[in-house]
Amino acid sequence: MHSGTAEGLPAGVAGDPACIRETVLVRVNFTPDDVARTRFTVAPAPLVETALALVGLRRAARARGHVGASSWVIEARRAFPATARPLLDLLGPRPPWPDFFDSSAPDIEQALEEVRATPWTELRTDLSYAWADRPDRPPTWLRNLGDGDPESVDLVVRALRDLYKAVVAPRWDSVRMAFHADVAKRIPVLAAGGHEELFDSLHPRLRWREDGLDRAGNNQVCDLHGDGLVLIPSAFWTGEPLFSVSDDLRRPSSLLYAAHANGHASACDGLTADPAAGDGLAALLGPTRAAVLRALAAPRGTVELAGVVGISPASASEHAKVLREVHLIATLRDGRAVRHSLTALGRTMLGQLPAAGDRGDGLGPV
Amino acid sequence: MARFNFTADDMARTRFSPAAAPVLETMLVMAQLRGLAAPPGRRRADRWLLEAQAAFPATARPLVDLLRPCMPWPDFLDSFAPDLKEGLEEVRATPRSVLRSQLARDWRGRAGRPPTWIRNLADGDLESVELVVRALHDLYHAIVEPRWDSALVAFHAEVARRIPTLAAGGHEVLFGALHPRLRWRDNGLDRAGFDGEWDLHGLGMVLMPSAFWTGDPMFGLGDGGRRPYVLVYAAQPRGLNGRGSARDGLPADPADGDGLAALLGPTRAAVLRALAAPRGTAELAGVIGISPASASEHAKVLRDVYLIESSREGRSVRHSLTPLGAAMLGRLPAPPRSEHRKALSRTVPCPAVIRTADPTGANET
Repeated sequence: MHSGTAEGLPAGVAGDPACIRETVLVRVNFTPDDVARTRFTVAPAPLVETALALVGLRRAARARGHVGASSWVIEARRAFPATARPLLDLLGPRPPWPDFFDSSAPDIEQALEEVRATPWTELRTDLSYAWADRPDRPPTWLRNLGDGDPESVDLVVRALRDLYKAVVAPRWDSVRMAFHADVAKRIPVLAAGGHEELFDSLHPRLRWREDGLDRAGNNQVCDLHGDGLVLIPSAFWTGEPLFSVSDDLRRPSSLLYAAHANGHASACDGLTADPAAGDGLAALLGPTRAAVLRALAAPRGTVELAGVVGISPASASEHAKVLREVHLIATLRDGRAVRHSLTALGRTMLGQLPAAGDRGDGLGPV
Repeated sequence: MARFNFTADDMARTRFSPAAAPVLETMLVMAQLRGLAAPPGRRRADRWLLEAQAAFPATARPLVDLLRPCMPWPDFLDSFAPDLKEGLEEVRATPRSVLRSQLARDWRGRAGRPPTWIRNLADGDLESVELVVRALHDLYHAIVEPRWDSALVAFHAEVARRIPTLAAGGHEVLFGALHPRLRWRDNGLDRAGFDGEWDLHGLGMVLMPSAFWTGDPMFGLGDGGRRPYVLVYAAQPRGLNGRGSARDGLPADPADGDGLAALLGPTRAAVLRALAAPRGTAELAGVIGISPASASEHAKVLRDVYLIESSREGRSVRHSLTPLGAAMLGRLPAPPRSEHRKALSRTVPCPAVIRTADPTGANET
């Protein structure tokens, strides 16, 4: 996540010649194809959230003296594993960051495999940025990482895994909820106002203007090459929107932004290791029916549904009936059994997006 | 092949219509009755269509003169206003020059002389204009209005059904999913079936699902950049009720079991329904007959799941439905921003053009 990142302060990042001290625009030029291909990512990415959790901890440490650190920060400091310390050398409180953690894989192990496969030698320059504003020499392991040393790579992978397990995994339900709640809030804006209004609503610094997206901040102009932009709401990120414009087409360009706070000062304030807290859907529907609706993110029969939620089949059938009558789920007969699945409305309610290529309810066109 | 060229601005301004349009739906009913949705021999007598034939008011007959089978109809008959009265005003406000040119173009190639009243209409004769307005009005009340609740449910269910596709796949995937004849290609939208090329003038395209229309997608043309182009397409079959098509679910008398109350509890369902009109907390409490504290608590729960939103207004707050809440109710939402309403319903000298799917009928397969 290095090129095009431009977080916060216009003062720039020491050592990065691309950053100047005036407030100028990051400008992302869109072709019509780019807009037509601009979309939300379908699920939060564990590795990105892990890296941003670390960045969040560093930023909270810099802001020491300000009262009222988020409860997750206090808990995470206590739970911070010693094995994750090398990441402090790699990820400063401000960008640019080397983009090794920029994996959209929905599974942490898969993402860590991608980290292992990172062409580290190509990142040598990026790695040096991480150390640029420090007076001393970078530690040996970091220099070795730039040479692709397998032991150093193992160090990074282990650090990320342990940090994920200690800090992110216990809050994962809550991260997912923040993600889906953000998407549930945004997509009606997109539907009724188009991408122009969507961008304008994401952050005060973002503005659609003349075939492109402007963002006050850093000095760069980027093109998207017809691949569009992937929108990533993040629960752990509290700063200004981050662009990641890929120059090598290995991954689509993305815009990461702080997920909608939904009543908190920021979304990460609502992150909790207690899955029952802050569950708006459970408050609305009751915990069991909310669990039934969530369980149907994957289509299931009544018996399987009952098993997953931990209720009797009769009760599952009754809950399904109530949800079906308000069109949150649909039920199809499948031989002698039935299968329940989310309707588009149900999916919107959960903020769940269909996988790319899926056309909604699984019904073909007319 | 019809081709719509988009700029990035056009694409960024492409959006769903905030509401169904009564005059447009009335014209689409008329078009269905005239068999425009399907070529002869492939017509299916839907139940509501048979009912509509039986209920067709004599005062709506002027529309029969204006709509030929399998041909486009004069553009001034289309209004995308979300309100009947406003839509009829737009039709009534059509300037004489527009009436003249559109009727002349429409009558070209038709056998025989137009009836006297149409010649008068082309001269801007006020009585003839009133004849058209009354025809639309009476046809609306006879056929559309009894089914309007169902049409709104179909409209919102369709939008709710499509927006996750839009969000996850972008407009490219959305267009591909709307109809087999629509395809995003090379910075523009292709529509197989008829010819032409249009630019969108930076106004984007408004997507307008219709509960009554069953034919191929049609376009309301943007009148040289004065209003956005409108894509009218058939709301997806089974989008709402699992029956054969959206229109089969258009009963004149929707028997409404109260599923919402079963889901949310009667009080909270009443709160959500009451917010179909935006209200402050005290007013909301008064309407439902609960305490303001309780109304505030229910509003919070609904807000947390984005069914409603609350905005501060001086010392009080106002609650209103979000599009998601509107979809949940299957109700007409307040437009998200006033400009959209204006953009869609602005009274302009020349209302947008609806081109039928295939003016010649030659490309139907």
